[in-house]
Amino acid sequence: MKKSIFLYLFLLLSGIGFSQTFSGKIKDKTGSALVGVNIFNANNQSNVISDLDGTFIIKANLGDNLSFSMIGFATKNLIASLNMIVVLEEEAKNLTDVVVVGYGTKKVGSITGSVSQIKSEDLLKNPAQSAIQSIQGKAAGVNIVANDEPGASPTILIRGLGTILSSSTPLYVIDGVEANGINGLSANDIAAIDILKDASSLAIYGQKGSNGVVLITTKKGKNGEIKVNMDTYLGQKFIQRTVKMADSYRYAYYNNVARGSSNFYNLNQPVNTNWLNEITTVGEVNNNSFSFSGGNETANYYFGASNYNEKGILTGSEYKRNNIISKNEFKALNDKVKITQFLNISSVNGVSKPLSAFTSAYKQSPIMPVYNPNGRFAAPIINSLGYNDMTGIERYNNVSNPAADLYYANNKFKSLTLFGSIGAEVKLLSDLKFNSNFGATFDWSKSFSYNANREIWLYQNPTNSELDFPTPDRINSLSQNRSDSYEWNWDNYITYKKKFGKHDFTIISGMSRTTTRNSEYLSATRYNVPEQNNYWYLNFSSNNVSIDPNSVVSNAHSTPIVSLAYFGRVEYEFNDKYLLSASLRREGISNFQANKRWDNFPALSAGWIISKEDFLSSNKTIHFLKVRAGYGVVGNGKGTPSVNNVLFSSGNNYSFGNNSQINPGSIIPYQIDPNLTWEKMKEIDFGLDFRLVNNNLSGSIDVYNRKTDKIILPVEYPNVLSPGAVYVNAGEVTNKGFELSLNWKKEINKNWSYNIGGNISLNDNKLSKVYNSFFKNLIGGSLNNGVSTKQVREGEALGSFYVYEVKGYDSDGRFILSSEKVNAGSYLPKYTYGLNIGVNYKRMDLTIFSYGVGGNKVYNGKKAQRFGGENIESSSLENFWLPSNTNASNPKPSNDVPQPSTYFVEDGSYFRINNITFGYTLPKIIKRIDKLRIYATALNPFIFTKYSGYSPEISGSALGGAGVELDAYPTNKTYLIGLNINL
Amino acid sequence: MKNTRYSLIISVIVITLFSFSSCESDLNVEPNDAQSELDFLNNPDNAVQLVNGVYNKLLDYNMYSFSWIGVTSITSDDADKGSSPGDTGSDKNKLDNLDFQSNLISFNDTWNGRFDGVYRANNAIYYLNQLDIDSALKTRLIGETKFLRALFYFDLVRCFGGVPLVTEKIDINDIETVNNVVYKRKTKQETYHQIELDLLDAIDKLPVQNSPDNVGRATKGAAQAMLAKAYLYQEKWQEAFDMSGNVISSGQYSLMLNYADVWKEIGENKSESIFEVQATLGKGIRDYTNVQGPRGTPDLGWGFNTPSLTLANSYEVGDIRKTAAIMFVPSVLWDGFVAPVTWNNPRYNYKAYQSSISESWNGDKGETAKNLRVLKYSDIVLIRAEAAFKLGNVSEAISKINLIRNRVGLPIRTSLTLQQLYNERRWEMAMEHDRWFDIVRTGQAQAAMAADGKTFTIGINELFPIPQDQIIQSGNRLSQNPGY
Repeated sequence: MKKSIFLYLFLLLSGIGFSQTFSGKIKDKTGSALVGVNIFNANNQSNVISDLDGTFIIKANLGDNLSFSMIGFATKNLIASLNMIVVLEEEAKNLTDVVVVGYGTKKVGSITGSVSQIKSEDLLKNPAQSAIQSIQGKAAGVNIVANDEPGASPTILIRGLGTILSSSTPLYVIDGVEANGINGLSANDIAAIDILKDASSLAIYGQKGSNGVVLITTKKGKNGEIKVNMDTYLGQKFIQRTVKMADSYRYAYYNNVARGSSNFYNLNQPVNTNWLNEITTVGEVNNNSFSFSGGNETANYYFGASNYNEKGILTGSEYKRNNIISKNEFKALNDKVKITQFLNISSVNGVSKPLSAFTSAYKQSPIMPVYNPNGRFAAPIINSLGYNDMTGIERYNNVSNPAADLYYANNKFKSLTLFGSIGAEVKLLSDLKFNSNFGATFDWSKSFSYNANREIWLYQNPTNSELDFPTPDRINSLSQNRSDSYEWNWDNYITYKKKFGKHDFTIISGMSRTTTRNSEYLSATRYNVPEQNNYWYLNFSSNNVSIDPNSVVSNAHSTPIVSLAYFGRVEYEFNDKYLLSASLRREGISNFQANKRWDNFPALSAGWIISKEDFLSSNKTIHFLKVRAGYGVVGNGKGTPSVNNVLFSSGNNYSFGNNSQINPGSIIPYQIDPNLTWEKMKEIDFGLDFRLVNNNLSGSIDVYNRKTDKIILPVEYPNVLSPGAVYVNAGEVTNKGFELSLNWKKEINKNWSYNIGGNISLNDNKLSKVYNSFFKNLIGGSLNNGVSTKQVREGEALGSFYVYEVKGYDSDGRFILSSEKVNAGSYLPKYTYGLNIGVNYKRMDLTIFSYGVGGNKVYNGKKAQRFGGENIESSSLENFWLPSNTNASNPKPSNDVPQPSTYFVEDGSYFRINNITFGYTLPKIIKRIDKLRIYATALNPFIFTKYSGYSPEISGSALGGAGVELDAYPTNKTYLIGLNINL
Repeated sequence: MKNTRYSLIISVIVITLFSFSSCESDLNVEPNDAQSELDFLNNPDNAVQLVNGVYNKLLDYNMYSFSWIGVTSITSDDADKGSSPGDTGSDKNKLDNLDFQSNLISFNDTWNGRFDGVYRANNAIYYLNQLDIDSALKTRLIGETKFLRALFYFDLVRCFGGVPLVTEKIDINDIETVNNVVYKRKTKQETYHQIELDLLDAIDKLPVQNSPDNVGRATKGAAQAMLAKAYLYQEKWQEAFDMSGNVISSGQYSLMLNYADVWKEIGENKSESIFEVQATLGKGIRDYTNVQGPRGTPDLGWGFNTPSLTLANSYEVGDIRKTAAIMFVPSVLWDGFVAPVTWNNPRYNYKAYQSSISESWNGDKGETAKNLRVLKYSDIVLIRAEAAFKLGNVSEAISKINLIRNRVGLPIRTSLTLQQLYNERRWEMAMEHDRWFDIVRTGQAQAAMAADGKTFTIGINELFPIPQDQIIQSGNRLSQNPGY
């Protein structure tokens, strides 16, 4: 006993002496040894790394402060003791993830603003022609309105409608290149998409950021072996939902009643054409992409190529895109200089077919066959027996033959888009670096359109022959169009990062210069070129008579918009717990007059990571909890004409003289308001981010109040003051909202895991003030027949429908309408939500993404456009007014232009399953192949809605076509199977 | 060490900011798509261009096309809606039935078109006064612009009664002026007064005749003719008598030998023409021909504004003006074109017909070379006759009527009643957008429309309603016409 005490004392005494070493072992949660852990002794500054079996030996004295850290694990600070066994816990993967914010990156955990991130894996689970479409439903507050035309990009609305201009696109920044879209970037080449939503994050982007900023980071090569990735998918597209149109009998019945005749249209028709079927076909889509990447300590590279091919559902429409992307990073001068080069080339070519064919198909009569007996396309002519007959005497409607519209439309387009950036990062000092980044987009496009004038005249005049064609010098016409554009931005900023003990500072300061809207076009038309399409060039024209030069050659260049900004931001973190960020941007833009150009946009945000506090740090349920608040001011100067000065247009010509010489004429198309200045959006945002229950449940809540002041709008003035709209700062719009997103991830056992995520956003939009008296009385939502459906109402949602209320029927089966118009709702949804489910079982994975909106209204405008003899929806005849049925849901058939009424306003809520994907990862048979997965996907397979038209999602401007369905464009659903291979 | 570090940081910041501060001037972007005011005004040639821009308004769709045809012709007893029975043309069926609702698109187009013209004229005068150009040219240009402004206001007052009188460029931020000028209707008398002021000034400034290159521009005779017509509408008989006398005695104009030639291309800008809207291939009146072109097979247009049966039956036997104004179907047209039974309607407006065989034609029905005759010598002769009659100078009236009748080979009159005078006007000016205004101003409206099977309500239908959209936009400051 006494001996052991002496031994202990001896050891203890020797331990108090100098150069004593401590040893221990480091393990992870599952008990495996952790190699490469960094152990730092704050007292003597010695530093060691744990070895292969997790053991470490460090010079330390008893009671020294040791710090254990490794990327991916939470740092632990412990007092040195004998035979330490240290267990390091994995830091929740997402918290160490880095998010791109303006001019820098931040860890997700320390973000004080509202940012949503979508990673590459999620994008690839939801293949679509545009990566933007794949985001739908995955980020709270982000509403994507799909556009199914081949090659078209969807529109994106972030946090409701803060601005009402027709250009409500957010700013896209792709690896430092500012762009208006992700034109030509393949989804396979995107590593992550970060969406900045609230003002405190957006303020650093100033005027460009007021609709939100979408930051796209492309993939780059990683240190190590070459990685090869291939992805291919193949699929078919169909019409998702159709509107049932009347058949020949119902058509004849309805139109007879509308005309007040009993037999103008014969009720027994031999022909029953379904026009939608005649112009659509099954679409095809095919995408192949390939990439390889790699690197070492001084350089890395990423190279990708992809090819996308689509045949649209509108017969004859095609879209092909080839992409090449190259991204390289070089480090030089001992890691002091890093140069990044990124280049994306995309080449598109396609055939466009007129979308108006869908509307013609909706309106054209089923009693008309596609072809006449003589083989020409049929025209709507009726004979005295009430049948469609090319020798008949009366034309019964103004609608063209949709099949002929498609057949005679010969329009092809090609474009080459090059965008890229080159940047340098110079480490001036250990804590000071300088970044310079230059990004540019070049675009060259060409298109032509060929019109077979004589062929079209022949089908419209079925009983005439070629010799009767009145203008043999214009048998056909060919227009060739060329355009190009060049936009660029240049950012320079310095970053200072310093950590003193518990204080962590990051300061950036810099400037940014941008030129946008810089494009030119040239278009020329000549007549009588040969019929074969290989001769469709203007020099082949055999008609050399020069006519009004104004209509033959046209060339114009847009006026560019230049903006210049200086910005600075300070970020401060104390003890990894308390976060503060402040930024200021001073920006000038060329749009406004000289004394109205500059303005300041500040932002301030703070955050508190409560979970790191002592009272919560050992809490088993709450793993991570952060509250944050932010205030920011963001400006918008885009969407106005490029120069706010009185301008004289040309082209208002008139002929004088005995020889009818055309003389040039000029007018001032619109007046300007010299006081036009920045539209400013001010927002307060409160948020909460959390991870609970062992990291299984994560989520965030945001509450925001956004006020857009001095909103810029094109306002219609009385013609005698200004025939064209004048851009003025018209009023104030508020958007108040709430966003919640929750994600539950659980790994049941080695075979089963699942995750469920959902997000819901509520937004209340109101036009709270109107300063401009002309704007006060503005009407909009025109149906192009003299009827307007919307009106500006102070105190109500923007873009509200203002129509008469249906009160009943009069004795003639027509509506009795209220004498005053009433507010019938707005096209803006009151809430949007998304729900995602993912299930993994062994090698199989299943994901379902869905999206829905509610509280919005749609105006079924196409039902309200009648001139006479058009087709109607089958439902109009289901229950219509008769003297014996005065309580019907539809009025008596009529050809009158209907007044705007609540009859046409419908509930536009919908819930759509965006994507169902089932995949299977093959077992690793071949050593070379890292991962081989096959998958099957259904895109937009189902939509549930009460709306009776083609699509409840209709984009447009708030006081224009948004929410008003005037054209009958159906939405698509796609089924595809694919394969991805990682080597 | 610290010093070098700080100085390095500072120098980097300074260099960065310095090298880019010169960018500020980059914000002065020169416009590429339209001319700035300064550049435009520096070029004296541009003065003429501004005035040409006012003339250009006459070619627009909302000026003389479907809506104007609707409110001046389809409303009257001279013409019916036409086209296919089921085609409403948006509101033409309502116009035909005299169902004048304030939300009809035709009224709004008519209002907007003319005020757009007034805007252009006011702008032109504003800049002309600032430009440094040859004073003779400036005088003439101001005269032309005032003539055109008077033309716009004359249409407005005939359609709507008193309207807001805007004769100067108004700053859009000057709310008070806008409320008092743009949103306030003046009386009919005040509106006519402004028209007279403009025309009297134009008469002083305009030349008697145009040089060959300037044919189509307003002349002194055009201003006098329009003023004579304005006096007639106000029943200022003496002034109308004198002013129309000025036109007649100027010796510039005479009746053409062949009545039917007046509206054909060979009659363009000839002796009977006082003022025409000039149209040519590639720069014509949007859809004027198309709206009234025969509908059916072969399709020459939409088929609206068909001459009525009452018009066709009203002519005296042997009056060639009937077959010059009315195209009967089926028949063979003057150029040899066959008007077949497969055309929808039995009659079409012959004066609006543009021949694809014998006249300028490039296949575009929507924009043809058909000139619109706004003022003709025969119109002035009739005005002289009517004014003379009303003043008691029946012999002068008879003499003028006989000029008209002689030209078309009808027996001359030895005595004249007012109704015969009115009829002569109807036959001479058929389908020329005057009939509705004529029956309203002379008090014949109720009887004439009743004979055509329509109901004209006295006290209401003399004026068209102010378009509802205009009243809403004015915040209800514009007053509506009685009965609407």
